[in-house]
Amino acid sequence: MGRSPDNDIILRDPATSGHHARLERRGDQFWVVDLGSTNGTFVNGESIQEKQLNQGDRLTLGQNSVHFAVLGA
Amino acid sequence: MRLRIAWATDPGLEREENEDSVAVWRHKAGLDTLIVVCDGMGGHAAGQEASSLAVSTVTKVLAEDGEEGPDVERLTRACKEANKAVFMAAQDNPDWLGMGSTMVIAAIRAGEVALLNVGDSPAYLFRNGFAKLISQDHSWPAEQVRLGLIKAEEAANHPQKHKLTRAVGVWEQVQPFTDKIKLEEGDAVVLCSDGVETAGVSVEEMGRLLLKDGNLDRGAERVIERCRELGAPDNVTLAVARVEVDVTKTAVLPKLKI
Repeated sequence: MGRSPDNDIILRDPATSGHHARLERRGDQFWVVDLGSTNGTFVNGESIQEKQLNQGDRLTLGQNSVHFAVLGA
Repeated sequence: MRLRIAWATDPGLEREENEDSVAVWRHKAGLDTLIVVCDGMGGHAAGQEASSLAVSTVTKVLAEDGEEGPDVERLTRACKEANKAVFMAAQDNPDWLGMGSTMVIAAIRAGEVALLNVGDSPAYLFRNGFAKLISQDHSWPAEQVRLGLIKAEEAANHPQKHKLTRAVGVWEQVQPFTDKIKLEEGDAVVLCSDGVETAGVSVEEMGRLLLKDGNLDRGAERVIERCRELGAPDNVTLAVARVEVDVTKTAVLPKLKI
């Protein structure tokens, strides 16, 4: 996720870095990893380097916030 | 001395892309607060690339230079690195040729702010209800006013208003304006892109909207809303750091001059 066009999720936001953060699947778990972004990556308001995501966590990059959810079986 | 910080950004009503970039740091790089606003220019996605690269280079240099405090030499080095990074990136990609960015930085610690700017994104100091421009405007008409060639009134609606005499990443060298200012309780340092002025919001109105209650985040949003009400033809970004008033101290009335 980031501001550059080569991201999977492009965030057109002045407070988001070119390559801001990455979502990783590790086994059954999903993690978010900050890629050295300028303004940081936040999970439920807390600044993180990397963190496992749980259903309903609020993920914030720049001025965008989303809730993390795993859909389907 | 405690600082409150807030920022807000909006693409405006006529532009699809937001070419501004902003950084807001607290307690990093040996500073209490660092705020940076860059307004990019260039075709395709170049403006966004230029401002984004300028901001990320500045913050990276300050995070890694091993130094502390609001020092104008330190900011100048970071600005020169950003200039080099944007200039080199433009040389490597034909789509980005000629891209550039404005830059305005406020680095604050222990009641002192080091300020740096290149281009026409302004920095203001709001003190006791009065606004003061603390950056130097590097637009063509402003440069002409400083040289005494035209009057200040002629500069306001000058056709060359958006032509810059200095920018980050356009030329091999950059010469930033710098200053250092002591802060007082209640002072607010505001950095913005020229989208605020382009929308028709005066400096005084921006100050009123920002500071009319204690809620700085809401204040920044009010400025954006007002710009949109007026049509917001350009991207609008602002970042503000305000020195909190210590209410535990006994209030002292200002001395009257008789």
